[in-house]
Amino acid sequence: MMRTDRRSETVSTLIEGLYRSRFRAFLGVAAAITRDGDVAYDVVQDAFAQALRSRATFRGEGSVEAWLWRIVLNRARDEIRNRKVRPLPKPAEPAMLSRPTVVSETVTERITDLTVRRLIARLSERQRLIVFLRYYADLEYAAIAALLEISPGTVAASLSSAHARIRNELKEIAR
Amino acid sequence: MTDVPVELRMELDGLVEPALATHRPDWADVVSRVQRQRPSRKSVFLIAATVAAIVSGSALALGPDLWQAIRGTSIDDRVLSERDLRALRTVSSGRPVGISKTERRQLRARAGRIVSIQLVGTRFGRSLYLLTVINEDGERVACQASGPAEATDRFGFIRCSAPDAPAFPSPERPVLDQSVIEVSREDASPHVVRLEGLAADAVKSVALTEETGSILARTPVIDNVYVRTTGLPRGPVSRIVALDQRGETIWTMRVTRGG
Repeated sequence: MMRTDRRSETVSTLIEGLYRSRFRAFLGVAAAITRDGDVAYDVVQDAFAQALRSRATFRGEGSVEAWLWRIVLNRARDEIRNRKVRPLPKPAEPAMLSRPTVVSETVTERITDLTVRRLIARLSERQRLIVFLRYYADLEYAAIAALLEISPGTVAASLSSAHARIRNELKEIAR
Repeated sequence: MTDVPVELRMELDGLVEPALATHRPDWADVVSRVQRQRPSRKSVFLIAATVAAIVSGSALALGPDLWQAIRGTSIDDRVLSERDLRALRTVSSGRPVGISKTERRQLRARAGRIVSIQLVGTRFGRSLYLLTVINEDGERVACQASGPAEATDRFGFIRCSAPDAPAFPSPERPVLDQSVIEVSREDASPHVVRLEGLAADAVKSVALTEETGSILARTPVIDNVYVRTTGLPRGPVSRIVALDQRGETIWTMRVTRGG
């Protein structure tokens, strides 16, 4: 019992430490998935509360951070599933431009926020998750692979494919 | 991280920038949510109100026209357990607050003689209150008020129910909504500018839906308070709905022109 209590205390300390050091990463990924800042904040807060409450069930398989990411991702996906419909914003008129974005080394073009968001939305759910976990959480391929239960090779291929697709479609729009 | 194209980085940053700018880590809030997620509660306040229909509220005009939600319907064909009924009749959060003589005088002019004021909760800088007042007819009525938490004018908004309105909180009235709804001359459809109100313990989230029932935006109820000012749909809203912990609708209110 004492050993279990000590381990539980250690896990609790690790959870708090990860919360303080990686809050922005968790919030960023949750916000990208749910497309709603307030909901994302609640996803993160509730996920850490859930982890804290059930820390005794953490069996030490994998890292505490991986365990937390699983809880956050599951909660974020539940939020999406619980919404009946969440329509994407209508595309802006081509003339409605936003801040400048470099498309290639030689072409500078203005692309609307909504265009890139729509391109991201067109990726498969797994590709989107991989992009978000790589960018906002800066997770290594192996960590992403473990989270999504795929191989690191699949992570690399998915990421490369997603980037290529978005880059190509941005170039098409820029023409 | 060189594998993310530079043209994508700015857009990915923009995707979550509002969330990162608005929200800060709050470990104390995480710990309090652990308590809230527990099935049993250590202390409970029962707030009884004796009022019925909503009367027209105070000045909230943000546009040339003002929509007021005037009707709410509870889902009364469900079989509710004793536990569900208890949660629909309870607001666990809140504490009495004092008011200055000036505030008492101002509130008397707007609502009536103040019997009690309870601060239910504060969220995103807005505090929401429940009041009991004696109106000019000598009737005891329940009122709701809200305003910026750190302001000299704490009760910018105040609205009182009619004496014969269903009590809050109750299965008939688990929500006291005070959302700000706007309609303009150019567009007669109602738009929610601020989603805000008080809810019984049984209500876990409040959502805006379109006519088909599709959810347009949702916000959780924390400490019996819901507030949302960002990410609200730009298009017209048909209903405000209250959802329980299973995501089922337990109360719905059509957003229509009031008066």
